[in-house]
This record gives sequence, structure tokens and C-alpha cells, in this order.
Amino acid sequence: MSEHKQEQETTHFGYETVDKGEKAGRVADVFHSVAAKYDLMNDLMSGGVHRLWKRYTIELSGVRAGQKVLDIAGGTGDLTLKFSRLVGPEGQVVLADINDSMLKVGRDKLIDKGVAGNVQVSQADAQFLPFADNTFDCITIAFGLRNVTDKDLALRSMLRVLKPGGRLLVLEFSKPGNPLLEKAYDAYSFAFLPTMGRLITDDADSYRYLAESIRMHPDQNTLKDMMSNAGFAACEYHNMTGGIVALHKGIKP
Amino acid sequence: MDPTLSTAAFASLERMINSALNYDPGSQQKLRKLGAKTLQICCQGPTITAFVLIDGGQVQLRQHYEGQIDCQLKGSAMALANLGLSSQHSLANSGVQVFGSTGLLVDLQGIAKDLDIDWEEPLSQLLGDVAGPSLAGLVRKGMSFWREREASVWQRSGEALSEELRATPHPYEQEDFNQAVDQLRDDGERLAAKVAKFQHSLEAALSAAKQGNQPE
Repeated sequence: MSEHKQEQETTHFGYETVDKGEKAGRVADVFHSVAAKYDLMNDLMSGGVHRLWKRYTIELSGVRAGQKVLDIAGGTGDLTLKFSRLVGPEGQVVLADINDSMLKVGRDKLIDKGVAGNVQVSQADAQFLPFADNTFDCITIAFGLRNVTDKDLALRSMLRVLKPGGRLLVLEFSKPGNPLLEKAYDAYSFAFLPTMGRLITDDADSYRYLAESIRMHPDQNTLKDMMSNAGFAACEYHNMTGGIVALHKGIKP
Repeated sequence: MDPTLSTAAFASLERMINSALNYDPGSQQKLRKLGAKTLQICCQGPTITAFVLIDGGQVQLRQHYEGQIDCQLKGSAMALANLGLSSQHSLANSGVQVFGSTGLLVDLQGIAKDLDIDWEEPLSQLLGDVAGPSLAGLVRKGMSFWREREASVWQRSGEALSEELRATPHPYEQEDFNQAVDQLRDDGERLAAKVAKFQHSLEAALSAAKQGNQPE
């Protein structure tokens, strides 16, 4: 009983087990540290492939002019930028992130690119979204869910603010299907990423956390079941780059 | 196919088309006049679906699209490629099925045919203000030379193959042969239908005769 209670009060921070109250602060420290060079590191770490993953996410979103979109953990605003063009002046995009350093970088980047009028910026926790029920036509969370302390709570919160018929898209690192690819990917993640992090941002620990948090994140089928359990219908996923990344989709019934 | 690869292919092709359009303002203007239009291309061998979204003189290529489609093309990769490259407007015997607005297809075919890229600007950016225009001039002359001779080269090659070397049949002979094959297939199907009908009548007659011979 006490073991179960302890399990409920702890969570993962990479390979460490930490108190639930502690995780948000430690994740915040990671992103405060990497925010300034986040885009550069994304391009270097993925060889630019993250742009293709995001492009595919935009295509599957089916977002049209006049719709309302919530980009959770939107960070530096890559998806928000594309959505703001799709929804047009009649629509609205909310760029939300729990981390103010990431939001500042994202907001500045959007302003520099001339995006204004249909974008709002909101510092929000995915577990307790500060929006009315049935507000959004589409919600995306790209490379953010694994950093959330209570993923089930976050999924239920997203379901609440989605309109009936609206869709949730979760773009996240996942489990490669091929054992050889998995080995190569492990070597890359645990040897190359922290070294690159140390050279470019002088912060190897943050990128070690990144690699560890990916391994601790639920695999494709587990996340699909979590979405179904939260109340989403027609849940499915698309593996990309051999399953290194998966795009999950669910509809609010 | 892994969505990463297909997305990369679509993104590269889209960038190439839009770069070409940026260096041909005339074609871009014609495309802008079309307004917002969507063309769906369903390639049936290999199975690939592509959506071509045209808006504001730019082209977007997508694998998924849920909005309204103005024109849909269906056919094999070879048939679709031939349609894109050929200058004829008729779809007869092309192997491509069209649903929706054929006007959009004719407009796009016209724009693709008249595409005239101004190589001077990209080459000047790449090679400088002296070498760029000189090379662009050579490219322009070469393309003009090829365009002038393209039709006659194809025609003379065709004549040489079919009439001098007798290596391939003349198009008219090929068409006659195709029609004969079609006629034979139709005749065969009619004969099969008549045989089936006769067999059915015979079985009915035999069954009736059997019932008549049975003692009461």
C-alpha cells in the first residue's frame, strides 16, 4: 500500500525517480538553459529532419481558415507560425508553453517573421489548461508530452478544451521498430547528443536528460491506449523515421 | 513508405516548383489568376496520392488534404507523366481519368508548357554579374534551339523507326491493331454470353423433360 502510494507521488526525470512536485521545476531549468539555442540545436541534432516531422503534423491537422488552434509546448513557435498562415485573419492560434524563456524566444521569433494579429501567447501548464471547455478545433503538442509530470491529466485537460470533432495531434519521440536502428539511435543519443550539447550550449546534462526522457516515454501503443483511456476516439499513430518519432492522432467524440 | 521520406520528396518538389515560378513572373501571374484551386492526383501504380494546392501564384504539395477538390486525376505513373509532358489537350487514349473541372487541367497544362525560366537572375546570384548573364545567354540559346528542333526530332525519329527501319509499327497501324484487339475482345465476350445463355436454356429444357418423364 505504502509502495503504491510512493509510486503515485513520484515520477521520472530522465532515468531518475523524483517527487512529482520536483519534476516541473527541473524540466523548467533544462528549458531555461537551452531556450536561446533551441532552434539551432534542433537543426543540428535532427539534421533538419524535425522540419519534415512538423510539416507532416501540419498536413494531418487538417486546419482550415477561421479555425482555433492550440499549440501546447509550442516553444519557439515552429508550428504556430505555419498554423497562423493556415487559419488566416479570421482564425486564432494560441502558442502555449509552461516555460517563459521558451515563450519569449518563440514570441520574438514570430514578431520578427511578421506574424501578428491572430496569434496569442499564453504561459500555461498542459495539465491545467486555462481555457474554456470546447474552445479549440485542433490541439498539437510537439516534443512536449514526455516532459509533462502527469500525462493522463494533461490528455484529459486537452480533451476538455477541444471542441467535439476536434483533433489532438501528439508529435513525440518514440520507439524504433528495427533493433539495429535502435542500437544506432542509442549510440547517437547517449554519446553524440550530450557532447554536442556541451560544445554548443555548454550544457551536456540537459541533452543527457533529453535522451533519457525519450527512453522513459511510453511507446507507440501505450500512448495510443492512454489517449483512448482519456476519452479520445479513432486514435491512431504514424511512425516516422523508422519509429524514432511517432505522430498520434485522436478525435474528441 | 516512411512519411519522413515522402514528406521530404514533396517538400523538395514544392520548393523546386516555386523557385521555378519565382524566376518566371509570367507563369506566376497566370497561376495567380486561377485563384485558390486544388488538384488531386491519384497515382495507381505505385499508389501515391498528392494534392496540389494553388493559391496566390504559389504551389503547395501535400499528402493529406481534407478541403474541397476542384479536379481529380487518376492513372498509372507513366500515364500521368505522359499527360504532364505531352502538349496535346485530349485525354483520349491517355489512360488518365479526370473528374471535376477539366478547365483547371487545361490551364495548368498550358502554364507548364509555356514555363520560361529567366536563368539570368539565379545564375548571376551564383556566379556573379559577369559570368552569370553570359552563361544564362548560352542556356537561353540552347533551350531555344532545342525547342525549335524538338518537334521535328521526334517526328523524324518516329518516321525513321517505323518507315525506314520498320522497327516499330506506324501509329495508324498500331491504332488499327488496337481496334482489332478491342473488337476481338468484345466479340469474345458476346460469344461467351451467348454460350452461357444457350447452356442455361438447355439445362432448363433438360430439367423440364426429366420432370415430364417421371411417373406420377
